[in-house]
Amino acid sequence: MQGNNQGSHYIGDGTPASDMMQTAPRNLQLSFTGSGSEYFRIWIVNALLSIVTLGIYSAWAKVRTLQYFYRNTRLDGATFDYHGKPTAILKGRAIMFVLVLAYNASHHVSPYLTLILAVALAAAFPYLLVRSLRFRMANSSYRGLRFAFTGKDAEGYKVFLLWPVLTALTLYLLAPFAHQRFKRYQHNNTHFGTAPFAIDATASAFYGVYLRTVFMAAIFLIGGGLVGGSLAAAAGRTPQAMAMVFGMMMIGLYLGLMLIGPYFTARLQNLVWNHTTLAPHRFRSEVRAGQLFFIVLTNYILIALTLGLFYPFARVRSTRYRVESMTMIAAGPLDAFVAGEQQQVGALGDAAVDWYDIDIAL
Amino acid sequence: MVAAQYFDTRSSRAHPVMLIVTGGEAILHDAEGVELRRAPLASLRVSERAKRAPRLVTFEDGAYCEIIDHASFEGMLAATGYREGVVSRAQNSWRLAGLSLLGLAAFVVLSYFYLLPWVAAVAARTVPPSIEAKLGRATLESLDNGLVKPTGLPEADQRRIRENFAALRRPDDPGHDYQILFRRGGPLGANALALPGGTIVVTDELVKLIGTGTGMMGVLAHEAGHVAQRHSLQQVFQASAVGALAAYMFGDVSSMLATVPAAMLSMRYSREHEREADAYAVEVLRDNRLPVTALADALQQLEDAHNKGNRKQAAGDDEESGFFSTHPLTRERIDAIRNGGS
Repeated sequence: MQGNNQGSHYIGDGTPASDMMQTAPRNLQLSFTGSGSEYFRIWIVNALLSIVTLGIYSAWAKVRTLQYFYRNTRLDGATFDYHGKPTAILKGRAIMFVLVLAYNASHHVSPYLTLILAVALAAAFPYLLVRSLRFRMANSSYRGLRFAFTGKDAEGYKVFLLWPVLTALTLYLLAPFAHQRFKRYQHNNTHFGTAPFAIDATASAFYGVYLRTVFMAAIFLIGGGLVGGSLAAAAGRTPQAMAMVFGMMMIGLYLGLMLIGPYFTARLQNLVWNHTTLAPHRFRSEVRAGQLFFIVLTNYILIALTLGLFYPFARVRSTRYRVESMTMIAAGPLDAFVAGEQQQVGALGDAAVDWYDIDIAL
Repeated sequence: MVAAQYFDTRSSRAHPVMLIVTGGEAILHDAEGVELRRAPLASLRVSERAKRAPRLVTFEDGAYCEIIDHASFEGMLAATGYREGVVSRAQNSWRLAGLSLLGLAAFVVLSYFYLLPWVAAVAARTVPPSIEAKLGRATLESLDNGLVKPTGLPEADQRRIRENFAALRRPDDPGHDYQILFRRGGPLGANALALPGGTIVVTDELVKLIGTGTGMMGVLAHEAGHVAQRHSLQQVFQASAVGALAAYMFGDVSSMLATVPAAMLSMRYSREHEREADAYAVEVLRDNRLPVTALADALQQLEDAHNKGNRKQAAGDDEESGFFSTHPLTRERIDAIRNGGS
């Protein structure tokens, strides 16, 4: 039951040298076996129980949701799994709730207290984000082996505090650089068992994605302005017409910006995963922006038409497309990875990330 | 007997095995029939039923079997007397999921109409008067800081209104310090505002419109109703709760989408509060043997004044937006007051 023990040499943390030369690289496409109707039932029961229990059940709901999405992701005939304990998540959420309440209430005691708390929270945030990465990875597994995040706190502060602050100070000119540093920190410090992930995407590649997105946004703005302007001219100068045109322009702009999102997401996923490796294996991501754009647009329309009930179907649709666009180019069989040290991680960091609605997706 | 893949959590290798259940134990055999491990059924964890995700049978040490032959496995499970949890059954049954949806809708509707107002009222009552007064002072400050200007009303009028109000017989309310302040309304126009803690702000324009007599007393009694029942505090609680729920339900999709329903839903609460304040005012007027029609007339005058000044006014518009929203005026309210007095 243990690994190959015929005495051949092991190169790095992957398959033995003899094995590697015999097997040709295989393209293993990821597949997603979940369905919108199945997830809808989970989602509706989650919603009912969470609301009736005033949010306490939400920890169990989160575990159920993640387990559903992980266990329906197949690679090379095996699935992923999520092991987070609902009680740990609930504890983390309760602590975050108290902290946020205290922060909001400190207002009435003294504005200085609020300021001090704000600074303290900002200082603690990178620490919490690092813990959250650790918690998420330590509780994710594939073929029974846990992932692990081993990033150091010091670099975490650079990535989550220093670069974002500098980015804000330089009016977001540093945003692609900060993003690349974040992905580097995340991927270079993640392990599957004892095998390390690595990423070699350059900052200039990130600048490329950001600049193309900004260019598209500019087109939307200019186009929207032109359409709005000509409509205004046609409708006359009455206040009602101007208001309506302005309203339409705002709606158009908002919709446009909402849909730039898929373009950005698609390009970013491709950039990050095409440059990520795991021991001798590589990955390929082929998300097509146009396709994702179409999926997101129809999702929004259907969600609006169904007063939100389409949301679980929408989520399954976009997840399926994004997962099935990914392929692992395996240089050998995937069965020779070995477990690393078990990490024990509390859930406070995970709850903090949840609360502020930040998605740290691998 | 069912085929499975076994993972020992020490390496990523998948071991094809057969899982057999006999005599209260689960036994794993490898491809050659050699027994790999056995464990009592009670020590195993079985994952919830799913359509296409594999079923997982996990041993105590974390090692597990992945089973994709759902039919055979469920047959085995049934034979061992395994009962699945309520939540799992609900998630896998369209009927139960449909019931959950109805239950959710019913709970939300009941909460909106009954539970939330009740909780908000209770919460508002438990807020200590000192904090309420502080909130009122803060609101007054923000009003003075931009919206309203110091009053231009002659001292005599101010004194007359205050004395008449003090002379009114009103229900006991020791928790609030009733004070009447006057301001030049500006964008507020003819209006009266009840601030938390007991301060009532009356605009010069209102005095010019309805005078200092019984009509004004009726309006002040209405505002006193808001104060006594702590409507502004309740409003804060209710609006935040509705906002939070909308954000929870729709926030995943878009935060802007969430604010629209929240704003619309909160407006209904203020209509309830207006009705309650009207009833309070009618009570007070009757107690003091003052004509209730005076209040109805005052409201009518206010509505006419707003209609004249507002060219965009649509006929039969229930709730005006913008600065009129602090004092929604409707046909119904005026009629209800007239009927209450007769």
